[in-house]
Amino acid sequence: MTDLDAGTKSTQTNEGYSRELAMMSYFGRINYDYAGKYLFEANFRADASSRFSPDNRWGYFPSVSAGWRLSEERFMENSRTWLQSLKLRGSWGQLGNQDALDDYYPWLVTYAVGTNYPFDGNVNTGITQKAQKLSSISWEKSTNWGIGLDISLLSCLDLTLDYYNRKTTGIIMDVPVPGSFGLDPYKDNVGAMRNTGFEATATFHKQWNDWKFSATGNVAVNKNEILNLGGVNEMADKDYGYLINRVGSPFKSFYGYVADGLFRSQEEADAYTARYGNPFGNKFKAGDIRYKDVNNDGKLTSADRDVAGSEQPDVTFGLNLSASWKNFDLSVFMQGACGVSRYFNNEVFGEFTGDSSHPSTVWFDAWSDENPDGSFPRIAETDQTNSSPYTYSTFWVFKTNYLRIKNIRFGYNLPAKWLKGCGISRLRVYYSGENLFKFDNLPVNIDPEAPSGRGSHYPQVCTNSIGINVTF
Amino acid sequence: MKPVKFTTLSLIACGFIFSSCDDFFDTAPYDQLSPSTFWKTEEDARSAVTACYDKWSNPATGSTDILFADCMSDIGFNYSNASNYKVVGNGSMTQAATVKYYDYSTIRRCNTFLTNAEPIEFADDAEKKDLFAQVRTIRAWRYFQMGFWYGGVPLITGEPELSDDAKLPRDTEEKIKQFVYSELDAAIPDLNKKPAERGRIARGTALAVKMRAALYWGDLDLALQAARAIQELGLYELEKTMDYQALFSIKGQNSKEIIYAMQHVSNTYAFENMIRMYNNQDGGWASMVPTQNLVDMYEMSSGLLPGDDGSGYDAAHPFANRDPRLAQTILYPGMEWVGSDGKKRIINTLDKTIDGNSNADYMDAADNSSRTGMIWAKYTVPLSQYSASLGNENTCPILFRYAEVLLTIAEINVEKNENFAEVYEILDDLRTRGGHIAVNRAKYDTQEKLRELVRRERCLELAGEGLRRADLLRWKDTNGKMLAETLLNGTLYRMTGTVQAGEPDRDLRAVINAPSDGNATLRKIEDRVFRPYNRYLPFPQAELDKNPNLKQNEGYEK
Repeated sequence: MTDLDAGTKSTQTNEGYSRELAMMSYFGRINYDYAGKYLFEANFRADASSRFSPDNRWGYFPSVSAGWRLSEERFMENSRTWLQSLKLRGSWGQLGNQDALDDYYPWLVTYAVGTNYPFDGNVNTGITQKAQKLSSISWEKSTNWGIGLDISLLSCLDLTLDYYNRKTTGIIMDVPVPGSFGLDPYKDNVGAMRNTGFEATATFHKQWNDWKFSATGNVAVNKNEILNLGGVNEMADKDYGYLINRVGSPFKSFYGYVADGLFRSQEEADAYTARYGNPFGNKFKAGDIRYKDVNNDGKLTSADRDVAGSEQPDVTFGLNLSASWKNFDLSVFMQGACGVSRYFNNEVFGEFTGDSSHPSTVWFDAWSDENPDGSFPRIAETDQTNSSPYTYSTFWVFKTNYLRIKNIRFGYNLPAKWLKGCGISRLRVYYSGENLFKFDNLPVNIDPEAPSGRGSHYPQVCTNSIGINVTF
Repeated sequence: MKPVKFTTLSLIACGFIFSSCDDFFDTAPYDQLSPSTFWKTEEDARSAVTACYDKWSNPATGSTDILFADCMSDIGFNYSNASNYKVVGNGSMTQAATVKYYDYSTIRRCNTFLTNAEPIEFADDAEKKDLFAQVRTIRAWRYFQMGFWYGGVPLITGEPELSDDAKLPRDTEEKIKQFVYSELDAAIPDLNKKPAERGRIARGTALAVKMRAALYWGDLDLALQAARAIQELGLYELEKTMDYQALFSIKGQNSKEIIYAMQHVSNTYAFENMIRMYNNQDGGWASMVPTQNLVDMYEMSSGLLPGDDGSGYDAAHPFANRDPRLAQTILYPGMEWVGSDGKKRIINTLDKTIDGNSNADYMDAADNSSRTGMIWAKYTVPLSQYSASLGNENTCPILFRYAEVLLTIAEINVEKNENFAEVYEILDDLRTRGGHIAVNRAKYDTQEKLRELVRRERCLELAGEGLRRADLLRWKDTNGKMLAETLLNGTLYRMTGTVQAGEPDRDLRAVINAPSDGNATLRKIEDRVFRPYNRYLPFPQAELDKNPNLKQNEGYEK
């Protein structure tokens, strides 16, 4: 025993753990530049980790990249006036990963202490196998290739474009085991995922007399797709009933019954129940969410659930504008995301139960006899309706596309002649505002970057500050 | 002409180079054991057996299942759907949401022990056999539970290596049943007659498992045999030295009536769920509460049922002049209670405000207040025996007690239409030790009437201990339908009314409103449904996904 943590007096127990990890790596790089026109780089690395059995210990990961500065070529000499720089580049490489494992011995079956039981009032120690291990486990591999283009045009415009395709295979995941296996899932290199995407950055800068202006924008588009889940087509998330991992869909996609409007009248609800049935514990009433028969089998069952977006944005973008005139300067930075969603639950909208809940004002537009076109379901106690966020459905998946004016800075540098004689070489007065405005399409006033579920997260603080920079 | 530049040919090599690379990687955990070094000594075997005992009665919710399970019957209710007991109670369980009784983790530990501990040498061979028998009993209990609740399940007695090795089809319920019986029959002779330590499974417990399994599966002769064998051990008797409620308190944990109780020790192996038993004002969560249906089952103190002519039952004062066991099983409005603040108060779950202040115990005050207006009196009295947190206790929920043995004997005698004298004796014993009067032989003279009485007595005696749903599923009415089809189908109601704190008679304080259309919405708790296919529980969707050979029970398929 090499480690023992401090224990508490109340339980009279203490514990510690002791484990050892060893890693060894070799890597090498070759770099070649010919005339500043042709660039080439190759890397090779070999890594070994004690996490894997002797037969599976080493992973070998090469990578190469090449670049071609077209603008330096002879035949491009004439375009030098309008095309300052043009570079084409490409790369391909592999890397390994074994950091996703907490366990230092994922290949070794071990028996753990701790499944105890008291006899005669004394807790006896129990020892048992907690998890199965496979000795064939080895490195996760990520293969990444991409091409890119860098352009400088017209002495005022710079453009960088990139396309990438990253496929990660052998992702160490829990192999789904049936309950009859009797142990926790064991880890194996079975998962695969692909991320493909496109990134672009453009910068424009220009100066006219006393005016200076520059703008930098960037946009990134990413598509994430699960390729392999170790033999099953989908795996429900263990902790959240509204999340699922499914082959062909993004990681942790939202999943639930598909909402198709509200029942506007009791007749409509009854006709629906008569036709499709009702798998839930409460009757369908006017104002309830109408669920779609996704698989068209004529019945509403738990098979009528589908994937609907994920927390990962399709597109993220940013724009940085700055301008100056004589001694004034102004910069604005904004960023946002598109194609992103969140699943918000009861705590975001408030519930109608007991004396201490706080329903939000969205419920003013709930369906009712006086408001049959309401956008929110009928008001009811959470367990008396099939339309609450606990009945996981796409109604509660909200698009959280947003644009945030992240930062505005406005400053004035006092003219040098005013500062002569004070011993001050520079004095700048400025106003700076952070997180000033956001634009989104949510029915409640919640930060669009808040996490799913309760949305509980310290909101981004809007700060206004005024300051002086003095250089003596 | 621009000079051609040859640049940078660099090679970097880095790493820690040791002379013997392989030794460098030979790491092994210091805090865990491996199969090659384990399974050598007696102590290893004992530790492996202890691991089988951890949460052996129910791997999912542990011993709390004993307190939760009656929420799946007509006499109990759960509001929050913790662990999905509520949806089973009201018939809305689906493969997406159902109780987690399908679990092999304990079975795997038993299989691992039985396979690997065989070669270990023991100084005392009888001890080795006893340990093996304890593990076989635990495994038989788990297969009994799964077999009864799901019908057939895959029968696994080995240690599957890979996921695919465990993707087996279901065996029939009959095969599971025969396995359970044969395992118990093999284990019983090897077990100690008396437990060597409290918490050990001994002959009495294994016989009780056999008795309950055979009773549930309708093999009455086997059940009666097991019950008689328990009697012949001469170790158990009904508790009469302390009052009925004390049997379920910390004080009563050494009672001779208890055959087996799930063990817990504060701090090191605590019972964490006492907080679920209490009502909102005491900081409890009222997770499992008794229903009006149970209250209505108790006789008047005269022995007549409330519905009988001349019973004297007053619907406005339903707690007055009832079988004394009602007040010992249920804490109802009007009773005196010492709360978590140490102060005495009168239980009031009926009035929204008391003297102008909002009443935390009011039925609809919060998610944590008992929706039925009552909480169980078993295990909860007195509150002061537990710690302030109510989450770190020595509670040992009782799995088997001698009363169940007597009730089984009585039930089988009635079914076989013989030995009525013993039936009356048993019922008298159970009723009088709770303070009630003996059975009126003239009133309950036929098999049919006695059957009704025995069934009711079993419900009242074992209320709140998790056995009711199984009884509703195995008992048939005169039309051959399961009792559950009548008793678990329909609306679950509660009482509404007020508490007159000034009233000196405890049982007259609660004044209940007459049911009317006007108060129907306030009185309604939920609609409950029971279809014949709800006899069996559904396998969770995740299990069907992971084992394509597992066929879902009829009625629950997509």
